[in-house]
Amino acid sequence: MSGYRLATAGRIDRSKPISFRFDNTWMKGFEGDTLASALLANGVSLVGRSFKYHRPRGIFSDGSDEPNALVTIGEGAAATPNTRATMVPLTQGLVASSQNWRGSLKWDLMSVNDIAAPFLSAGFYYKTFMWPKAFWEKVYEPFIRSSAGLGVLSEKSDGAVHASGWKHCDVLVIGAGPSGLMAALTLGRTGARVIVADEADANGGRLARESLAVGDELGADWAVGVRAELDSLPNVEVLPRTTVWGVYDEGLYGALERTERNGTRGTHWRIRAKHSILAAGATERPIAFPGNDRPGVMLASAARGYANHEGVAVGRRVAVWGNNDNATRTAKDLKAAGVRVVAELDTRKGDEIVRTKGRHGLREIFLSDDRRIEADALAISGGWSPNVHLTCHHRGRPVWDEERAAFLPGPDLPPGMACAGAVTGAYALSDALRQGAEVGSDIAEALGKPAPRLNVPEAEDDPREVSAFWQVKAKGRAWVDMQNDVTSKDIVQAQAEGFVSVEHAKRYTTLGMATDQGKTGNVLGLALLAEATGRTIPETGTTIFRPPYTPIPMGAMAGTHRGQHFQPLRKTPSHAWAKEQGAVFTEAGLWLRAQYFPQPGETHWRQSVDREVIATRRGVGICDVSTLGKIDVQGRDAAAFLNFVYANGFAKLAVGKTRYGLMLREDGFAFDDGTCARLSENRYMVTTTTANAGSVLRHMEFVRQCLCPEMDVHLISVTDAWAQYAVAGPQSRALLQKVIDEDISNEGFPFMACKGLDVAGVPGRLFRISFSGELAYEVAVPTRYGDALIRRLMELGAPMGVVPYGTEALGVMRIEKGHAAGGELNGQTTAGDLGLGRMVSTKKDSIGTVSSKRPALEAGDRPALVGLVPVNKTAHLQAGAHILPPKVATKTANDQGWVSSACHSPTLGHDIALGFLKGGMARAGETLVAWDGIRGVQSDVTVVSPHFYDPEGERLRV
Amino acid sequence: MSDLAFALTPKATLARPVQVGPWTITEITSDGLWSVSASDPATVAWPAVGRTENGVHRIGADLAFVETDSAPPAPSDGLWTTDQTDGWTRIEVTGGDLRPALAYLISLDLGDPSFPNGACARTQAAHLSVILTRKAADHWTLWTPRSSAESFLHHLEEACRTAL
Repeated sequence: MSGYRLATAGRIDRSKPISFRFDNTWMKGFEGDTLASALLANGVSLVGRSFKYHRPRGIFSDGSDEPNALVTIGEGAAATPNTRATMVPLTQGLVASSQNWRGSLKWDLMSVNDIAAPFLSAGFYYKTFMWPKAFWEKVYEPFIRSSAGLGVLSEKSDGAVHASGWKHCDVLVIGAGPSGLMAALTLGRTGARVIVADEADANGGRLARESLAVGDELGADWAVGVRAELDSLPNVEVLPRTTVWGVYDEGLYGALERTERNGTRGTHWRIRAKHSILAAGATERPIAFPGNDRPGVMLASAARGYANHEGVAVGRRVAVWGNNDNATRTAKDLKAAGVRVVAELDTRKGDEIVRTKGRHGLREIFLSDDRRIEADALAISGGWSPNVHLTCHHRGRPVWDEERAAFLPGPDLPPGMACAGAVTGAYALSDALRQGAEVGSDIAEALGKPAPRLNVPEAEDDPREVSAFWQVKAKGRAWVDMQNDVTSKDIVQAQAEGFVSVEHAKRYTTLGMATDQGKTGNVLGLALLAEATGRTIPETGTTIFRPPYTPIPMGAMAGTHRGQHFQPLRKTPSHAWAKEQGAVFTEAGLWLRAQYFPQPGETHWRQSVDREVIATRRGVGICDVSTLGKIDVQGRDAAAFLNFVYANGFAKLAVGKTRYGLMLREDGFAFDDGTCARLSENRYMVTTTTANAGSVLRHMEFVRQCLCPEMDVHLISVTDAWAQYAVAGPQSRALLQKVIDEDISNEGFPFMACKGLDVAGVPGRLFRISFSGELAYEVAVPTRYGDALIRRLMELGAPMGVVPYGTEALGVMRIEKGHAAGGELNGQTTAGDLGLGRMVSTKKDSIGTVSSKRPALEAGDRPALVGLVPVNKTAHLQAGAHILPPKVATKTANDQGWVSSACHSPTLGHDIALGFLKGGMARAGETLVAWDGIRGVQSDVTVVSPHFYDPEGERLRV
Repeated sequence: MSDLAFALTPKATLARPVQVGPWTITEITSDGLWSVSASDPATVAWPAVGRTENGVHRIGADLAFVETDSAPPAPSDGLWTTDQTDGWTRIEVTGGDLRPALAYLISLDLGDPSFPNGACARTQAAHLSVILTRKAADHWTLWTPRSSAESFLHHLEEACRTAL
């Protein structure tokens, strides 16, 4: 056992014991422990295996910079891999598992990689797996993939949901260490709206883990007092366990709050802040020396923090080594807490560790002067690296500070951001407190608040003189990036092979590319690269820091938008009625639409659809078409506006008339089609396809606001305001006449007429339009009456054999009629391709008209709309098939078009299709091949008119 | 033929008020709602943009939604009215400060300085359009398109539960 719980030290609650399990062993900890501190207290030094060499690894730090102690939390579907044990608060019944081994954690079969290490250096993959070429997909890649990674995803939905939301403030304080607390207090007392986000418990950051005094009290107690005051201020919100992970435009910050709340696993906040104060502190870094990755070797600040905060000794015999005064303080704190310190080593005195020993944990260290020290823990400090990451998210570059041997925030900070505390190199506690107060005061003034005079408390100063010392040059592997198993030799090798740019060396060696993003290893790696290339560190530069600062679960990004919550659901006015009829529903955009209405005895959807089509064509059918986009267009210039938006003419559309309209995009391709009814002199009702309802309104708003700002025209969606039903078939007039008093005969209400009128006593609208090719109307009433109207129409139509029909029958009838829909309006077709070229008016200017005349869009060999019927009438046609000449090779060069829509026509008794064919209708009568490679079928087809049914349009005009 | 008994559709999503923690969520079905667009907004006696007064919710420079339980706004030259009564579902929430819940749905700053009593806005919540007005911190009116009102209500309830 290498560690133990100290008798009295620490701030845990010893009256509240907690049981938890690590691998197969149940252990005890206390409230206030992290999983890492509890493992150390139970003498667990080996917690995982390394990424590449499967080396034994232990706990290295006490914060979010942890590179080694990655564990899986939970079991089964809820298991979350690669979780830093240092960031997991201990909870009752917690289950954690070690990762990345085969066999057992202690006896990992994959540790054979460590023996083969001389062959696995940087660039190994690139050099080794080049030949034979055929081996890559079948041998190398599967093998590498099976060995790659650390933890393993369950690949099952864990059912957990992250919440997501927005917060707003005047000032976002990032980090609740001494400078962050001081800044927040300064601002909070002015009444400014402040949010304090801290990735730990927001009680002082590193100060909570130190023995330093503030005023007359322990710094940790001072921090608790400040936190209490912040909590009492109504204008201040403190978010513990919240990591600000990214800085975006206009003062937007991404933050992940890991506190579970009412069934959510955490909350992803987007915080808008006028100002921010980065008080993220600094991360201690190690020294590269042979065997520095052995369990028991850890950062000095961590060893000190575990003793001071959780009352845990990280070993029974602890050695301390560093290149700065921090090591001295560590030894002092450890001894004060009752930890046995067996050696105090300092590079400034010439102490250099050249080797370590111990199979699964540290047992001995060896020095260059032949001293041998028995130790089960080694606390090391190679200096501090300020956490400048967020200062770089707008492409700012940090600057090298020789005195502190560290990168500090550069001059180009994200707008509104200021820095305070250790992140600026103000390592001394008194400096951090003063700087926090000053920055807070400055921002208060910028906000127009009366800046308070704050008494910055006296603080114990802790000297942190650093003498740059990066590595011990001795035989053996010295780790630079623990998590990605990058050694100092890899850096040297990268340089020797020409990867002298820091960005190239990073990618060649994978330095800093693991989940910890090299928080402890990056600067060390840069220093070694600088040494190897004979340059200074500023000359070498640093890689750019990008979001996220710490790993963010994909579930947090998704928030509540998953499964059924991925998108809203829209229901039609007849939904409840259709459900009662046993309708099968389909999603169309966000809408849930009745696809077909199966009747007793029907065992296949085709039977239902065929019946609905035939019944409609012979009698009358009703379809809910409320989903079509409806845009109310009003204004003195409404006619001129529509004449500009539509490719065909609208200037002369008479009041009471409807016209089919085609919109083009600016580039001349077809955009959307629909009808437009002129309800009064200055009022029109534009309908769009269901799928394009939103995009058409957006397009029209753009035209209104940006292209035609001089026009008096007003647009608003009324899609949800009207329940609209297509009533189609020879009996449609007779049925509607039962609920409409006015004359809707062919003479009184001819084809393409429209009118506002009473529908069963309700103010409604009637349009004489037809998508089915039959005598048909679309009748609309305010949505609240939609349910009642469908019920009444079905009741009144029963003697006529009325049927409801769904989207399938709707689609069949429009293909029989040759109307274009989604398959044809796919963004790649022009009006000419669709056979609508003559609709594009040459007498006016409208959107897309000029572009539609480009030579390539008018070329004669463009695929144009045709109808297709199978030569063998029992053959089935499928949308997506390619059209090829007979007896040619199936290759792109022979491709002459495609099938865009296909169905079985119950009217004709065989399959029919619409498609686009080079040469179009000029090739009518030719026999070609519809080749469907994906489904593995092909059929001979004959080119015919796309108007399969009533091509003269006589039925809809009766 | 005016004797038909019509029912609200889609079937009333809120047959009775929903209670989540302190919040009571109620659908109001009585009043009419009209959108009014102005050719020259400067000539119209509307509240400032983003403000609600006497049932007039000014949600844009040239656009207001008018709530009325009597006659609709009289159309006149330069004022373009559209009946929106059936297009939107009106939801009232009372009983507690709703802002902690709305923080999960709406990206706007709803703090006192930015969104005081009498403020209104048209914005987005859970990918859905919404018009919200604040009568008091514990009294909000939310309009959302009728076809997706059920989805909106579900998200609102979930947000309230999370904020408890």
